[in-house]
Amino acid sequence: MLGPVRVRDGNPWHMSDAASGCRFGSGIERDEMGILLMDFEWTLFFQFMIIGLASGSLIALIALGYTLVYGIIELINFAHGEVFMMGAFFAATLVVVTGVTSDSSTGLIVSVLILTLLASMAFSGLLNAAIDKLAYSRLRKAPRLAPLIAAIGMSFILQNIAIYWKGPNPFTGPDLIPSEIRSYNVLQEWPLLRDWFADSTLRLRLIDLFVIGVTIPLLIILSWFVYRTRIGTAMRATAQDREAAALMGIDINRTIGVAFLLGGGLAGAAGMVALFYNNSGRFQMGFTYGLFAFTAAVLGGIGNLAGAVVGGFLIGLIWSYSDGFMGTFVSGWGSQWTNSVIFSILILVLVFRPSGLLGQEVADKV
Amino acid sequence: MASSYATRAEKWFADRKQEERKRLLWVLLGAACLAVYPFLDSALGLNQMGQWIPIFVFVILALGLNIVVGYAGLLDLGYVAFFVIGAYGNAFITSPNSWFVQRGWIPEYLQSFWPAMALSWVLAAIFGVILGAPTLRLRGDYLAIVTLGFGEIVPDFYTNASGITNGPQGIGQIAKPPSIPLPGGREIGFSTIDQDNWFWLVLVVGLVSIFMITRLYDSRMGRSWQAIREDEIAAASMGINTVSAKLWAFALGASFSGFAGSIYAGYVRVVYPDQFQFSVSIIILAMVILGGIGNIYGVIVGAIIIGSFDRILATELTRPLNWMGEQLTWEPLSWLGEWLATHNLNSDRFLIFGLALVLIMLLRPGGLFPSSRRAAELSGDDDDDVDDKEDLYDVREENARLAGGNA
Amino acid sequence: MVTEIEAGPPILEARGITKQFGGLIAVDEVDLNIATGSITSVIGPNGAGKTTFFNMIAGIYKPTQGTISFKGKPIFGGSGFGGTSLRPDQVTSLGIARTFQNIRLFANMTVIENVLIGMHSRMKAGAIGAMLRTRSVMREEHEARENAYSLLDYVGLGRQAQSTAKNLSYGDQRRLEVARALASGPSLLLLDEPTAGMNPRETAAMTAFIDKMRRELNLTVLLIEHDMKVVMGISDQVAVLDHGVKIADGSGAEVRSNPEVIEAYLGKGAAELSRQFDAPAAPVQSPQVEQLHPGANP
Repeated sequence: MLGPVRVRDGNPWHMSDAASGCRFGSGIERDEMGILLMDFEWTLFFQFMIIGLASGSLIALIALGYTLVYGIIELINFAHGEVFMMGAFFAATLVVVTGVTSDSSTGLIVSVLILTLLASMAFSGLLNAAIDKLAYSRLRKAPRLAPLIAAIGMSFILQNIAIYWKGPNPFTGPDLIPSEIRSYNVLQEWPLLRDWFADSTLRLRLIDLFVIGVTIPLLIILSWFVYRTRIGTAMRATAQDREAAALMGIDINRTIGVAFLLGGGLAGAAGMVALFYNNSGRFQMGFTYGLFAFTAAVLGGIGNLAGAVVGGFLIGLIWSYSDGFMGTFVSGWGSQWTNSVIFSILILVLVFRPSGLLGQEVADKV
Repeated sequence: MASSYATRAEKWFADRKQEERKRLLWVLLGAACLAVYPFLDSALGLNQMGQWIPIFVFVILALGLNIVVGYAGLLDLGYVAFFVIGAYGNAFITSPNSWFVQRGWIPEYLQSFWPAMALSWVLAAIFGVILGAPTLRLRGDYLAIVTLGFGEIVPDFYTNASGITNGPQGIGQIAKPPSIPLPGGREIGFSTIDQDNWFWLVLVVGLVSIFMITRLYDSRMGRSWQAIREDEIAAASMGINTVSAKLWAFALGASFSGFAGSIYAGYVRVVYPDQFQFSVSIIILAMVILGGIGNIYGVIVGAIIIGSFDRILATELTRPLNWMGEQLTWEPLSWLGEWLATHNLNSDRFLIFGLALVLIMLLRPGGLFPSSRRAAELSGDDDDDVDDKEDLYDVREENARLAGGNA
Repeated sequence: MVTEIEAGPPILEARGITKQFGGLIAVDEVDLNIATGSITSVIGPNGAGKTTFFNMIAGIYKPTQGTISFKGKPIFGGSGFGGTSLRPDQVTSLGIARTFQNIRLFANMTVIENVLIGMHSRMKAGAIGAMLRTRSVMREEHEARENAYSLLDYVGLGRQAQSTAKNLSYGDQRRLEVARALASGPSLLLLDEPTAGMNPRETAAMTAFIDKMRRELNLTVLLIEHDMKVVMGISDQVAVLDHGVKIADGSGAEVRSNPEVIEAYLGKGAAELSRQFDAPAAPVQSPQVEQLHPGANP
């Protein structure tokens, strides 16, 4: 039942390929090796870049949660993907509760969206902090693998709760953003851009802008929090040296709690956005997104906030190009290989550069 | 002088031999109790043979994972990968539908169950080495994630490389073990309908596995695993090649998974990738952790508990539960009755496995039947945590302690 | 007690050893020759780079620069292809064994199992042999266990063979560390502050024991201490590290009168010394090994 999720449900490319205006099939020849000979199309290249950046920003939000927690207590919070999924579920339920539909007034829809975003963040943040208090906090002194195993257990518990909540099958997102707005092509509709992109089939949808529009402010707020506030400073100090931070009077448990709260909050935001972006949800969505996000965090250098963001965008781009772009140039290639590609990246990075792209190598103390 | 040393060592070995005899007796007794189950099953009309055989295969898997997780202390979250490799190995070698057989690459004499099992065993071990060699240098939690990635890639490969693997439909017509002729013209057959024979076959394989694993643990190699688990740097400084010792654990664990896979393939006669999902790795991990990480008998009990819930109890207990729900019409609790009346315990499986992992870690880190040593390591209040103590602190405390002790 | 060592070929040769951690140079261009059969001590204040130097010999750290060779064979040397860089276990199989400053026993294993781990590099049994319990494997196990018992007797732990290592007293844990190191059959024994945390009586006993081992087991000993006084009585050669640099190298008397050493200890290292006198069991006396020797025999 549970297991390697074919990412179709989570992949924006599949939602829109019919309408994306990409041109396939014209003038394609196949050579003996099975490689498609097709002119390289810049439109296609940029189209997948847009998709990749949108999903990349989602992944970055989730990856930050992994990195925040790992930076401080060196725990791979395996249940983090599920916290993200719970955020999406909560948003779906909340929208139904408010009773708002796509027919409501624009002002109402926008305010419900903002409310849902904030509520999902609060929900996931508290959920993450509660899981920490309930399970991980009692295992702080245990060997590293004990909390990791507990986190795996937690992830399974949350998935089962999600099955109780919405059933085992995928469900469509709440019908809140009208589909014509969701697929509204900014490049063809907005006055200035319309002139520039007149001949192009490139599409930048409003929903893509929505994803990026939620992500970027959150990243700015996070970096302000971490680098400009007292508690953010305390977090950084704790990440560097927990004992020394405790000696300086920092309340370690509170700091750890805040890291879980923040990470969960970002995951909740990502969950809400993913729900509207993909227009679907499923109890397994956290597994794929979670592992991709973890890969992103590792790729950027786990424990490094900027690394998580960079890694998130890179993984988003790889995801998008592997899913769609490669398929048009290499026969037999398609979204079914994306999981393998991303997990291979994960393995290769961990083996050859465990400190990631932006991380620093740290010597083990003997 | 020298003779007294010799006697002490001799005495130790004599003691061990006696202890092992006693243990062997218990194991055989337990096995004998299990061995009569097929008669009970048919006498009582339980019809659970088809569930117990896979459960026993999972017991073997758990024993193998215990080498990796329990003995060497390496968390392997992709153990299912080797199970897939073993199962497909058997399919590739023996099925007439196999891409390799159809090309005539597999010699005739290999196309039967036992040679295929031996080959899958070796194949899984080789893949264990291929995955392990570059990754075993990694820290524990990173290794866990790498193995998880591998556990995802392998079934993915078998799904997607449909030219060779026939994709999601999988490969059928896998060879069964040849019948064993008995005097008097009868024979012991291993068709899918010969459930009893399969049961005993898997039981015997399990016994042999227990025998091999206990001996392995009680040897130079087993000691080196314990040392690595406790303090890797000290172990390396004592002359243990930590990477190769871990590699051995990894490859041996993988080989058990591989041959369990090929037995499983011979039993179900068809393999397809959906049988081998991430949750399988976690179920096996839960078996090891629930029963008692590092304690082979605990692991067996844990595997039987989890396996029987997974395959038998969840289904069998649903009906009584629903019945109870129907009886519960008392007004204040009628909502509960309604819920129970329609609830299917099979939808709680992940909750149960997850709870098992979390609760065991929190309440009883050594598992239900802990190996005393492993429990001490996992509880974390090990006073041996020297490496994060400052030298200065260490000296003062010890001096104070010694001074106090002398007074 | 100081024995005259003929100027034979050095058993260990370190040339220009440097170790850099990020911006910090922990050990800076240190040369050291250790004569076969000698007791050599490396002393210096805390943080002088002694343990880092030690870890480079033992193969745990890779030097940033320099070469180390043991009995003429390289342990570390040269970079790129053709360079050598042995792993800790390979260093141990060459015949170098070590103890740790902050005792690192296998705490949950029994005393004798700890010693058996020490014998790992001298044994051969593999996985298949262990499963089949072949004759040669069994013989090897028997011999190993017998040797382990005799080693435990040698360090005075014969009666505690079956207790769990973490239940031993502090001094016994130190002895077990030595026994475990001896189990690999070393010709060079590296002892990292073997008397750390010991009271003067125990310190004197341990010092005497080190000398006894050297004589009876034909060992060469490399000792790390930050307490200069412990070392003077038994060392043939004393090297002083300060801030990663070797500031003196010679006999105990030479080193003691070296002005740089005095400055390192009494000038910049004054706090260090006062800390030693601060310990509950102070004052630390210079242990007269000859005097204490009869009582120190374990």
